[in-house]
Amino acid sequence: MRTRDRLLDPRLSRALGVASLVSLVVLALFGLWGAPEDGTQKEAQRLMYLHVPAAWLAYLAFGVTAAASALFLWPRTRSLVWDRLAGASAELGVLFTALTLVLGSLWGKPVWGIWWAWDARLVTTAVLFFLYLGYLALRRIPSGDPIGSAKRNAIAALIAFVDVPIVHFSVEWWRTLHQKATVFNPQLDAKIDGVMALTLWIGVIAFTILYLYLLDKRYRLASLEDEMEEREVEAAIAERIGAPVEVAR
Amino acid sequence: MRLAVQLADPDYGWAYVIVGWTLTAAVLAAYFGRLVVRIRRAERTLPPETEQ
Amino acid sequence: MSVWREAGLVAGKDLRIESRSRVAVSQILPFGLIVILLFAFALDPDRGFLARVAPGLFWIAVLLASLLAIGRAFQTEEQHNARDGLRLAGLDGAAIFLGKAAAIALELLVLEAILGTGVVLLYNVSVHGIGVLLLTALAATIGLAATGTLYGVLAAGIRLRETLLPLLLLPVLAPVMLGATRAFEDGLEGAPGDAWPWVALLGIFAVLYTAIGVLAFGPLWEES
Repeated sequence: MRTRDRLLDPRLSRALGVASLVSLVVLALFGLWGAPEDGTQKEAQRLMYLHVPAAWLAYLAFGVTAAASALFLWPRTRSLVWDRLAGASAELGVLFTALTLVLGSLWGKPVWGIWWAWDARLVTTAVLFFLYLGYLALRRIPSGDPIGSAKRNAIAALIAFVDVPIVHFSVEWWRTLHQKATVFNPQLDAKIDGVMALTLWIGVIAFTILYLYLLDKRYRLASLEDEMEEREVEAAIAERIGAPVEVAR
Repeated sequence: MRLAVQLADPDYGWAYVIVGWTLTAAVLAAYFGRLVVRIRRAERTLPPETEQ
Repeated sequence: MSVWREAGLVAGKDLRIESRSRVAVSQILPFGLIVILLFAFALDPDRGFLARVAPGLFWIAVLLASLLAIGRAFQTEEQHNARDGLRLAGLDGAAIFLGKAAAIALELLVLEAILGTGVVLLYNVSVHGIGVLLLTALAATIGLAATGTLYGVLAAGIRLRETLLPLLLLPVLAPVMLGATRAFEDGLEGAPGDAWPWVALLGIFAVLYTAIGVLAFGPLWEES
C-alpha cells in the first residue's frame, strides 16, 4: 500500500495558489486603502478585514475536521484520506484561531482601551483554541497502527466538536457584551458602508481560497510523512528477518 | 461592565493596524514557507513518484 | 448478564483496588487539601476574599484532584496486563465505561464532601441552599467522571499520557467548571432560583458525555 496522494490536482492547486495571492493583494488594497475610514473607530477599524475572515476560517476548518472525522468513522467511507484531511484542517483551524485572538486583541486595545475583555465570543474562541491544541497534541503521538490511531483521532475530534456549542452557550449566559455579528446580519447595508461590506466579503473569499490551498499543501505533507514512516517500518522489518530490502518499489 | 465602541486611542489606531496586518502576513508566509520546505525535503528523501 | 450488572462488577473491582491500595486516600485527597491550603496563602485570608471566591476555589481543587483520580483509574489497568484480562472477560464496552465512570464518580463525591467541609471550615463560608449544592455537585461529578473516563481511555496506552490528559480534558471541562461555580455561588448567596439553569446545563453535559462514552468506549477500548 502506498499512501502518497494529493487532495487536488497539481494544476488546480497551482491555480488556487495564484488565486489566493491575487485575492489577498486585492484585500490589502481594499482593506488598507480602498475602504473608507470608520466614523467612530477611525483607522483601527481596518483590523476587522482580517479579524472577521480569520474567525470565519477557524470555524470552517473545525467544521471540516468534524465532518472528515465522522466520514472516517462511518464504515462505508472509512479511509485514511479523511484522517489526514481532519488533521490538516485542524492545524489550519488552530493557526487561524490564534490569529483571530491576536488580531482581536490588537483591535480591542485602540477601540475598547483594553487588550482582552471577558466577553462570550472571546472566551469561547480561547477555549476552542485549547480544545484543538489538545487534539493536535494527541495526533502528534506516533503509534504503529495507522487505522487504530486514526479511529482514536476521529473520536477525539467529535468529542471536542460536541463541546463547542456547550462552551458557547455556557459562556454566553455568563456574560454577553460583544457587538452583534455583522457579516451575516440581514440588515448589512444599514450597519456598515457598502465598500466596507464589500471589503469584508473580499476578505472572507480570499481567506477561504487560501484555506483550500494550504489544506491541499498540508494534506500532501501528511501523506508524504505517512509514506516515509511506512517505508522505515518496512525496512526495519526486512532487516529484522534478514530478507533483501527492496527499498524502491 | 458594558464596553462601548468608542475610540480609546484616537491618534495611534493606524499603528495597531500596521502591526496586525504585518503580523498576519508574516505568520501566514512563515507557515506556508515551512510547509513547502518540509514537502520538498520529503520528496527528495522518497523515491520519485511512478506515474500511473 | 445485563449491562448494569457488568458495570457493577467493574465498578466494584475498581473500588476494591482503591480500598486496598489506598492511593486515593493517601495521595489524591491530601493533594486536594493542600491545594485548598495553598489558595489561602495566595489570597490573603484576612481580606475576606476567600469566603467570596470559595466556590471557584473548591471546584478548581476538585478539578485538579480529579485529573489524578482519572489517571489513576487507567494506571491500574496497565499493571500486570490487567487491560488484557478485562478485555478477555468478554464484557460489553458500555458496561466497562459505566463501571469505571461510576467508580470515579463515587471517589470524587467522597473527595468533594471532604474538600467541601474543609472549604467551609477553613474559609469561613456560611452554607445556604444545601439542596442546590448537592444537586450541582452530583450533576457536575457525573459529567466529570464520564468525560474523564472517555479521555482516560482515549489517552490510555499511548506515550506521554500523563502530560496529554490534562491538556485534553481541561478545555472540555470548561463548561462544568463555569456551571458548577456559578450554581454554587447562587446557592450560597441564598438565590437558588438563579442556580437552576446552571444545574440544567450540568445535567445536559453529564447526559451527553455519558451517552458518547457508552457509544465510543468499546471501539477505543479495543484500540488502547
